[in-house]
Amino acid sequence: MRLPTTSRFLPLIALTSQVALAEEPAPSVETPAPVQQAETPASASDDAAQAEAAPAPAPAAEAAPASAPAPAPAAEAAPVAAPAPAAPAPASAPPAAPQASSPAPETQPAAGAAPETEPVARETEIKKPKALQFALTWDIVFPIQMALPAGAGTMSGVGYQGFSLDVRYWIRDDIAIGGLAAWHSVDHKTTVSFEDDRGVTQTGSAYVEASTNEVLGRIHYAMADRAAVRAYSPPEGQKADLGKQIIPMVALGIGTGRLVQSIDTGISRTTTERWTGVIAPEVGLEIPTRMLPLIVAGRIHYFFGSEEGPDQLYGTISLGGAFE
Amino acid sequence: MNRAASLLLIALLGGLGGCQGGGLTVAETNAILTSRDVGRDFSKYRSYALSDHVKALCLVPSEVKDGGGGASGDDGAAGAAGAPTAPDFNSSKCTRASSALEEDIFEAVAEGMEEAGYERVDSPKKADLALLVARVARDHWYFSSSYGICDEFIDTCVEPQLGSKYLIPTESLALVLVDRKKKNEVIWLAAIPKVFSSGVQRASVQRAIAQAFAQSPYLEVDR
Repeated sequence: MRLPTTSRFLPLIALTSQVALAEEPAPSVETPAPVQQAETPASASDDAAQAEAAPAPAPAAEAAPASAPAPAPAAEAAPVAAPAPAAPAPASAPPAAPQASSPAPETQPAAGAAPETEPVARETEIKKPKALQFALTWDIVFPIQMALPAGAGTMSGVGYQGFSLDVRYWIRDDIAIGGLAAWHSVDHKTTVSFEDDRGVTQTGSAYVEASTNEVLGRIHYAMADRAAVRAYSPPEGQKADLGKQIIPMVALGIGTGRLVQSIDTGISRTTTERWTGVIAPEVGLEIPTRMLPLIVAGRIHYFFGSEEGPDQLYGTISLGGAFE
Repeated sequence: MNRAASLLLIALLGGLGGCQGGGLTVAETNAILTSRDVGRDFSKYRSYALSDHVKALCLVPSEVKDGGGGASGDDGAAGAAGAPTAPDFNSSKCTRASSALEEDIFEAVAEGMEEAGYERVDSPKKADLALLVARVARDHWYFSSSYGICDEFIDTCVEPQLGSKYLIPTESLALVLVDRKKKNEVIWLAAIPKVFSSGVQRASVQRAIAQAFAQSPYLEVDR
């Protein structure tokens, strides 16, 4: 077996292989074998037919490993080079149209006669996401089922006061663990009628408020290749594929939370406070930008009921960014 | 790090921007409060006597007692004459109100008691209950033990025992029902904001008083 056309692409393959997410180690062991096979015909000078059949490529194949001994990555590329003899007309192969969303397959067309400069330029723009990520978001609060104390009704409206600080550590490219601390508040004016535990009944206008503090442990799952999304750039002259520029995510948070609710009638302020368990599933998007990854997420917060109060349920929409 | 700091600042400004909060304005405060003596059996009461004037709640009774004076009068100025040495007394703390609606107030209160099934008698000494009508003429009136009411109609001071948790706004109407047979213990209290404020309509006052009775079904004699 010979590798005449592969040798000049070895540096490119080495470069692309650095961004490939995973390469199987087993094929690299096989690499020396084909290279040695390529050397064999050159040493068999008494066979004129063989020498004429492949006079020029053989030395080229030998030169490549010698001039670029560096790479172990070059050896990794061997599986890509291996099929070359099976496709003896690489010049007719379709031009490489590398898509950053699938970096591993890109190396195969690169082994053909595709232009070298374009893919190399794109690959160098890849900023590999770091493992540790901090996200800070502004949270908009939507009460879903938030009962007021003393049976005075339920919370409603929209709260614009809230934020979350989220820490994520990506243990795999698609899974992160971390924690979240958040504060949310929602309030509105309403009409209430309730009797408190001291035999006092109040009827009329009231300013009601609910605020929460949460501390959650969380696990995230990214439903796209984070590195590939960050590296994506549309082919020249084509519109960008929005689907390849975002990273959909799901997350689940479990922890504890403090819930404070109050009813202020102007005559008195009735306040309840309790700690309880919290579960908070989330769906969201990470949108890489030149500045920083933007975060958009929707989260449901479920506060477990207890003797001190009923279940509470509200949602938030988070807008913010992450820094790494 | 500048980028991170900017992000932090933006998020904090966004998240905390609305933290100044709301709350009711004085104009919006209209909650009607009623308080009962929990565990009291109201069914044993049949008759009541209604005070013949609106008591101005200005001086704190303990202040008057400490100063050696008696109960305050119908307003702060009258109280001043009876307790010239009372501590913390300042007539500027007390408000004066027109009495244009007093007649309507008494009428609505009497109607509420009648609908609840009570018989009205003239003398408090012959009644099971005495109903005092008062006006909060000073800020920070709590109806706690130190903010009780001294009234010549029943010739004593009573301590509503509502507690400092409840702050009754100035110009509120207070209705205090006391048990004449049991050392004038307060068994029911109603506070209705802004009844004595200027521009208040007669109909709204009557509605508010009716609401105070409506949210106190335990008062009804024939429950």
